[in-house]
Amino acid sequence: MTVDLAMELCGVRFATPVLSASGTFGYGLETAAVLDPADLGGVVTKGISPLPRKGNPPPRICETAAGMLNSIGLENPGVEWFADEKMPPLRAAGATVVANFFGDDPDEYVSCAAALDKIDGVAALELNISCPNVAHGGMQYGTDPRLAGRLVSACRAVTTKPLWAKLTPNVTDIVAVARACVEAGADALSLINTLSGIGINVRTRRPRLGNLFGGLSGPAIKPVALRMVHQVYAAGLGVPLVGIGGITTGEDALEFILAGASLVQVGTATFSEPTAMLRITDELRQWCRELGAERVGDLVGTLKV
Amino acid sequence: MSTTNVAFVSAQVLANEDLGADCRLLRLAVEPELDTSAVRPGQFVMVRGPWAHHPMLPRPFSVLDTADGQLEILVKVVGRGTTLIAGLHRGASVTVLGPLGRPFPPPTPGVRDLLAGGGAGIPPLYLHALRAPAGSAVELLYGGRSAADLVLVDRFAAARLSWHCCTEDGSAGSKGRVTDLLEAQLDFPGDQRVLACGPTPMLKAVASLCEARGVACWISLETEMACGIGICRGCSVAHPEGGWRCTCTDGPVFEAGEVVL
Repeated sequence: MTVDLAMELCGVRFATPVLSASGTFGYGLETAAVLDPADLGGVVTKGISPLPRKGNPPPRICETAAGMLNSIGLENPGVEWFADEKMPPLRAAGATVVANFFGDDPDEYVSCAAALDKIDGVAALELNISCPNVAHGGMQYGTDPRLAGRLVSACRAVTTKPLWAKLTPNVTDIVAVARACVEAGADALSLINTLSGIGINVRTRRPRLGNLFGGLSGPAIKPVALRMVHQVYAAGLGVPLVGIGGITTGEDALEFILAGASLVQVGTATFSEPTAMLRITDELRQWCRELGAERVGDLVGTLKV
Repeated sequence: MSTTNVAFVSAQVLANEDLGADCRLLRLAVEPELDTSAVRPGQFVMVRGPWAHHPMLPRPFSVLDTADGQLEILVKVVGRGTTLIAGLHRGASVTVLGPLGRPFPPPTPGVRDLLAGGGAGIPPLYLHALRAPAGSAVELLYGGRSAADLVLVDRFAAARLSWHCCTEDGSAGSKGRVTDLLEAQLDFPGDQRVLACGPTPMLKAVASLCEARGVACWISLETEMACGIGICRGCSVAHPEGGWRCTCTDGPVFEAGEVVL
């Protein structure tokens, strides 16, 4: 049985539902020696800001049980560099590109969205209102439904490309933020970003991260992410969801799809296995066969509760 | 860094030898997609064992030696990940990503290479010495706290390398630190440069000694890493003029002035 893994979201076709998660796959070509980005559903870029950004002091990562904390701090060379240096080879490689972006304040968000809107080959924008690692990494927007809605609305006004909002799990009510983003014009919702956490070196009694706080990712967060995807899907907001959080197998990906995700993103798994996304795609195809689904899209949101 | 010959492959543990001092020597048979002849001294590989999610991340190891289809790494046990890798038996499956990173500059005719290594920081220097063309002037200087820390001296002798060792307690070689050995060698009248690998305090001491004597110095750094290939930006070290360098792709070998230790 052949299985159709392609998904269409807001007019953009994704060859498979498996995409890279922002910040875990660079700008799509760093691992070209082992993985052709055109073989993925899409490449979600590392977060892009209007101006270059230095990032946080080291240490920036520490490993935890079934996951890791990071406090990279959104280091990136800025949107102009992205357009000039990274997009031409990504276009040539035939990758489907979703540009993740952020700013220090609403004006920066808007100028970044406007700049990305003009870049040929950027299929969609992913608005980061969820980075827990910097003072102005967007999480203050992502934890307040009113601010989130205003920011989405301001970015919506400057782009005709599909606009996804990436949500933080560090909230009491994920549905309230999700609803505010949709009402303000978000075309899709990506969830979840990392969970805020810290690690401590007991010998030195110092934090294990230079920034003290970091974002927890990896299999440890998968149940939390699934629960949130389920809650937002069950709220019936009328936009597609992109599931993220600790996916390392095709079965994990399918769990997110059953919970209501139309696409999934794979992050930390790429660090332990650079070709993980390809294996996950193959395993997902096998699962579709096993469940008798000719199109992966037929399985979206079919969780029985 | 050129990533054109980077491969991600399965490998099998062929041998796991106890070297003492919490160090094991693992010989790995790697799939042919990873061209072992392309590995340059100073480059590293990311190795992960056959466990589920704890630890998730692979661990970086400088390559100690290569043979056709085989890689050797020195595993110093420092935490959970290295304990698990050090405990792998013959026949165990691992994954290997590599070769990665910027190697040491190759030997230059007419320039003597002084290789200063501390404890488990010896593998890339050993490979550099081993691969140096016949007639190259290469001196390997190896220091540890005591004789047991000098885990590779048998190999130095077998490979007929020119080497000197020292220990802090005087149990092998001269009594003192590797910087003492280095200082004594720096009086050499001809052109020379220093390549170093070891704990950060040792690298700092080596770098400042070289700066004071006007000798070019290259150091190989070790930091925690997630990806090993430049995508996570987790292994950043500070550049003296601001900004960061990634240990994995800009290094692990840096010219001493390129990073703030």
